[in-house]
Amino acid sequence: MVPTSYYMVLAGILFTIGVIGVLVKRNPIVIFMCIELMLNAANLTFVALGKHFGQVNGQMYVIFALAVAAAEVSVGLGIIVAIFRSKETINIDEVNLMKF
Amino acid sequence: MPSYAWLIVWLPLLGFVHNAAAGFLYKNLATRKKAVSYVAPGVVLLGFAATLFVLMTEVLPAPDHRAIVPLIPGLSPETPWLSVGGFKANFGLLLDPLSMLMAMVVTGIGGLIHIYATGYMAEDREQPRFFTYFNLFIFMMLLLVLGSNFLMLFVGWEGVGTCSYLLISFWYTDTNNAKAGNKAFIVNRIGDVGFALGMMAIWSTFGTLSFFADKGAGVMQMAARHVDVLGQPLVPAMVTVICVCLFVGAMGKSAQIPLWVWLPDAMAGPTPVSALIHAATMVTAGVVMLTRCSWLFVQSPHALQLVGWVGIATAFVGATIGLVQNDIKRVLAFSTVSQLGYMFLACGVGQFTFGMFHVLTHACFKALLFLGSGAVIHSMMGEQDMRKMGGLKKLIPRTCALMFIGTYAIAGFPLLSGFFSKDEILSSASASPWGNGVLLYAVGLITAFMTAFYMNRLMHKTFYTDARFVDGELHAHTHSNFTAEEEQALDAGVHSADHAAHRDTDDHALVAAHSDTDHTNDAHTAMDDHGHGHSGGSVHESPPSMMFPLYVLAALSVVVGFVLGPTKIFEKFLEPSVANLSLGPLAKGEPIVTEQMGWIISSIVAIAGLGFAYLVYTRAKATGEALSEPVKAKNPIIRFLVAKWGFDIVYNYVFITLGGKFADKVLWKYVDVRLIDGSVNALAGLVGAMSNAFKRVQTGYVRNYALGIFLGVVVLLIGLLAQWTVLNGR
Repeated sequence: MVPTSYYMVLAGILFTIGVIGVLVKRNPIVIFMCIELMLNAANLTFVALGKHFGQVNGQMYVIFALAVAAAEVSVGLGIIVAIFRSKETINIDEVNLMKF
Repeated sequence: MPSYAWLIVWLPLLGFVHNAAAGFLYKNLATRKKAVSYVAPGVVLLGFAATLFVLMTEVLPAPDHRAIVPLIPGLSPETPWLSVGGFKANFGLLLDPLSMLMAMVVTGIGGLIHIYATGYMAEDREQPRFFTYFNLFIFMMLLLVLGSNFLMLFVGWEGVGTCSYLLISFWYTDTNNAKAGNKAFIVNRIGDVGFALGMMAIWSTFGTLSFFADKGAGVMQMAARHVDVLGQPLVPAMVTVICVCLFVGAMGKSAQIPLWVWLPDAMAGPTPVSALIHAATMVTAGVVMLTRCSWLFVQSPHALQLVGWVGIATAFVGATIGLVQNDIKRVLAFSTVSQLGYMFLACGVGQFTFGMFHVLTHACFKALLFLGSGAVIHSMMGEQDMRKMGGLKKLIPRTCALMFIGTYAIAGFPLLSGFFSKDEILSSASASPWGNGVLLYAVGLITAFMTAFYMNRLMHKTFYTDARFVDGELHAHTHSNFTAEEEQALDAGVHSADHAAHRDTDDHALVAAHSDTDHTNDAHTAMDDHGHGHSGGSVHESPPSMMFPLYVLAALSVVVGFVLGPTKIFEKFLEPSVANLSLGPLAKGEPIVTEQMGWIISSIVAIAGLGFAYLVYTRAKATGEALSEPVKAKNPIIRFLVAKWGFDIVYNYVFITLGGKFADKVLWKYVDVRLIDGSVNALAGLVGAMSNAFKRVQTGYVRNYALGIFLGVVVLLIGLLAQWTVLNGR
């Protein structure tokens, strides 16, 4: 049986990769994927801890998170398509209207 | 036993409501005026009857002649009116000889003046508005004199001030009248600040504002026991502060130096207003308030001395200015200022009863004189300048005879009312408890001489000298807010509105409207034919409604003095309401003349003053001028007096010119623009600069924000971890 702490470490690594991806990438599609990575790192801890404490709550939350993430991705992709249509680019460094 | 005192107060308010609503109640102008001219004097005279009834049934039989009764029937007099924290004020009426005396003066003489005003204001289109204010004034004045605590007194105090303002500027289309109203209101506010401060000082010392209360818990009862609310002995300095503050309030209301300047200008109002508010009742409120607080004043020698000096100075200055006035009402205005000075002199030497006695006699003869002068003005079709009068003795002999009685009464002619009240004041001034008796007595006598002189001067200029106008060719000085054309337009407007209304509601409109128009026209013609329509041009006696009050007041001016004065009836009556000098540290001095000697000296002075004026003005019978215009223009003393001792000039310079400059250069351009605007602008600038510095944070790069969030979470986690470690002791 794999100890719970292994899952925790894995989730930490996944989450860190996600954060770094969000911080350094310029392609919004990749950033989205990184965000998904962070979400799934969180999902992994939910499931693992749910198993560890013998409770069903953790797994339930994961289902919720997946549903919300799916909806969020569809909205986010829609925005990205809209941006591309108006600006002919999806480099987020060029989409920086909201600044001083 | 239920008390009926509330009737005294509520009746005039009922009249006020009726008159204010007259425009809704009666569509026809003539009907409206008629209804108002019955209701307005009616409620005041009913109030007088109620006052007499209450005096007989409730005040005289009561122990100490004092009763505190509810303002609203059925409620307890201790019902709190307002209660804020520890501060409480009750809805109560204080019935005692002082308040009953003033209620009788206000409703009695006020009622007579109301009757007079029905004649005087008969032609004014806005007569209902006039009586609305007049009844409101009576209500406020009654609250002032009957209120059981300082706060109710203050409500009345402000209320009469408001009515005074409204009535001075009654004919508001003339800017001068509006300005006079403003002046009265603003000068009075200065005094009111003093009064308000005095009330606060009383509250902080005595913990209550009630004059009298159960178990000796009223201000005056504590003052009589020389203790404050905690039972500690009164601090003399605190009593002086209270008294001086209250006296500043009295200065404003009762036109004492330095706040007297508003009263002469207040003559801009209709003459009944001058008689009721600016001679008989409101301006004496200061004396009434001082008498009410005599328990405090007798304990403060400094305050008494201040009151006395201000009083004698005002009496003297007022009389000197009265010598050179040409407007008949202004002579009386300055004589009012001067007589009020006498009243304060009496208070200042600790003889509050004599001050109140002069209030009573003065109310009678000054109301008589003002109403008489109003009759003269009415007869002369609005002319107020005595230089354009003369010879009226033959034309209006009855008015002349009545004015004669008033003149001799105020001059202090032996056995008339002014003689007794003034003599009592003078002899008590000579026995001043704080010294200077000789000086006070001498200045008082000189003032009495001048009073006799200028009053007889008024009589001669108006009645005895040769006429300086042509009878039958008088030019009307109509006082109204509307010109003749406007009046007609208004009448026409009313008619067309009636037409429209009838057409809307009734198919047979024409008939109805026609009869309505006819009716109004009839009424209008009838009014024009009434005699004193300011259209004829010849001098005529006033209508009976104006003469009747004059007869009553003349009779009072004659008898009140010797019935109440030497018999000591008045003194005994007022005794329970007035504190004695023996309560305080001062003792009455020795009068410098005996009572009989005082009477003789006063008589000589009065007769000398009257006689001197007789000599001067019989010589100048043709012109009515003692001195020619060029002489007057050159004489520095006369110019000084005409300029009213320079009070208005100095006030104008100090408060209007210098005050205006101060407001402009310092308050506006420095304090407002630099300090207030500057600090606000500086704050805004600081916020702007900081935003400028921090706006660099908004890079527009999402990953920077994400980094911010990430670092924030890391810091938060470290914090939680640290807390957790500490809490678990690891």
